Amino acid sequence: MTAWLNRINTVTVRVLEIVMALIFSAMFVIVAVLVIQRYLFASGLVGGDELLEYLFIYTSTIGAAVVLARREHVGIPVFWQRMKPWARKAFDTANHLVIIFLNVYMLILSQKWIAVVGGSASTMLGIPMWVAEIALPIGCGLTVLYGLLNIFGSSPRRDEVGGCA
Amino acid sequence: MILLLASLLVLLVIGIPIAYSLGFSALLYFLIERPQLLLVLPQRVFSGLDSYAMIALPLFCLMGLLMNESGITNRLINFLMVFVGRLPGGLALVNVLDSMVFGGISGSSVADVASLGTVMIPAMEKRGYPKEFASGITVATATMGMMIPPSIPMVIYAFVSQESVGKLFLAGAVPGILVGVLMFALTIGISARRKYPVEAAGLTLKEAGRRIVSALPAVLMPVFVVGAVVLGVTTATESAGVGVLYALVVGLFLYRGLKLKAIPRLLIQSVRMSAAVMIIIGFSQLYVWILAIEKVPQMVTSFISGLDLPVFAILLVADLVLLVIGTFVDVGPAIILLCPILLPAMVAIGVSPIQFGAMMISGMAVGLVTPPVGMCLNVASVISGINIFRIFRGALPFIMMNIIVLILITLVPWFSLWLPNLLMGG
Repeated sequence: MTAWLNRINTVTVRVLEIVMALIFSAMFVIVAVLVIQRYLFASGLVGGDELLEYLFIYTSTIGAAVVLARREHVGIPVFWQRMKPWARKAFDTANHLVIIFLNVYMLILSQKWIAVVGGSASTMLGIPMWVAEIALPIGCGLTVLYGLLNIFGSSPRRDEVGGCA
Repeated sequence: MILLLASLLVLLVIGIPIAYSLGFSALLYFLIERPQLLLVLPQRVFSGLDSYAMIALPLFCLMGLLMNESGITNRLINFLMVFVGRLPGGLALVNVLDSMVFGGISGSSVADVASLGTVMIPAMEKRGYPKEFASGITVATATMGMMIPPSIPMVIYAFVSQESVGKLFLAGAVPGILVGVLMFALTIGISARRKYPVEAAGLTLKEAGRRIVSALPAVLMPVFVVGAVVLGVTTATESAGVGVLYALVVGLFLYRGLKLKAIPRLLIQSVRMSAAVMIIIGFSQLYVWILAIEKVPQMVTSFISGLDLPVFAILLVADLVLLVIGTFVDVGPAIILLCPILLPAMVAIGVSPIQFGAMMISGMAVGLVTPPVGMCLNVASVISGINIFRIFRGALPFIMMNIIVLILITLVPWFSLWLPNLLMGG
């Protein structure tokens, strides 16, 4: 059972990472095109900035779920590192339950929010806003999935912290 | 409000990631205090993630990773050896200068330790330097990576404080270089006293020229990237994009150390690094909003104003707070958490947000090399195989240079404001 869950974890994380890499590549291409058009041809890509922002939101929400799956979220591990193994295990489960609760709540709230505001059109591209806003419940849903997989799977907790320092 | 802060503290202590600690404590606050506003939660988180300026973050991360993968480390070492290799402790001096240059390229102190440390720590040990000194100097000098532009923490501070990225890049330049100069002088003193070896004797003029030419594309990159932002030619995001393009060209065609198959891995790594910060920014918008509703910044401001202390004393206390918090919390989250509370109070007592940004980053940089959390210490410990407290002992004399500069930029605004005012106006 555990091996099976870990397999799901590994495969889905891999797929999501490929999706993120593709979205990020697209973002880079758009930035490059924007720069070239703006400075070489004195013109712009209509809605380019807006599209970049929406793609960035997807990389952030999906990325946050992947980061949880890989246990790379930034935390304060000082006390954690001093805990006994049984306490770590217990707190790890409790912590994941908190994360799951928060994300289930956010998932429900964001669906209600999108139902209210998702129909409006974006300023430049004119696309319905739910196309971008739905990134939030998608990220929350994936975070819930990886929270559960982390609880019932066997991947060890990383004690180091991530970030861009 | 007490509920928010108490629950946040408990959640952080029991090891819940900062992003979710912020989110959960905010959720508790809204459920108990303002349930009618619950629907605002997703809207606030979404608006935190919806930022054109922050797109620079993954791009700067990618730029640093690409350059690192291209094999610039050895080129920079050989390049700097030309200038300081003949001095006593040549390798230690190269380590100091390398961090100054590499910090400008990667924008990250941890990346600096990871890549330079892998080469420099074993090389210094081989030449007879004590392990403690070799690891200590490597981690301490890496703090310059956060100050010398382009700096990733400066991008985060610019977003949170709504200040110009270009000005903040420049605000970190003089303090960063000053830290480098002081560390360089200290290294010369220590090396002369301990009789550390001289390197690069007998280097021909042709070889020296070859090394300089070989390193130039890497050394010039931060100049182009920062220059474009400062001169207003590009935005920070566009500049980071151009930086990535530059790094790709240099890595694939000039240095040829970058392999095509490595690029997807680096793309993923950049997105993961950025997502870890962005989700904190997203959930921090709830926390910032609650602080505003509860008028916390105003309370802090009136408390600080009511202390009846001279400005310099308040700023030195702020430095102390930054040093203590930086010891426990990573730089990005610390900026996101502290800036909304402290910045309004600093502005109220007449401190420029740009100067405070330089103070904040300089103070937090010290936290990267102080136990128990110091991320640079952990990386160096893995490389050198000695524990973080021994590395810290080796780094301590150099960290004192960081603290001297922190006090200087706190007491003398000129150090952080001169360059931004000169090049970008007041």
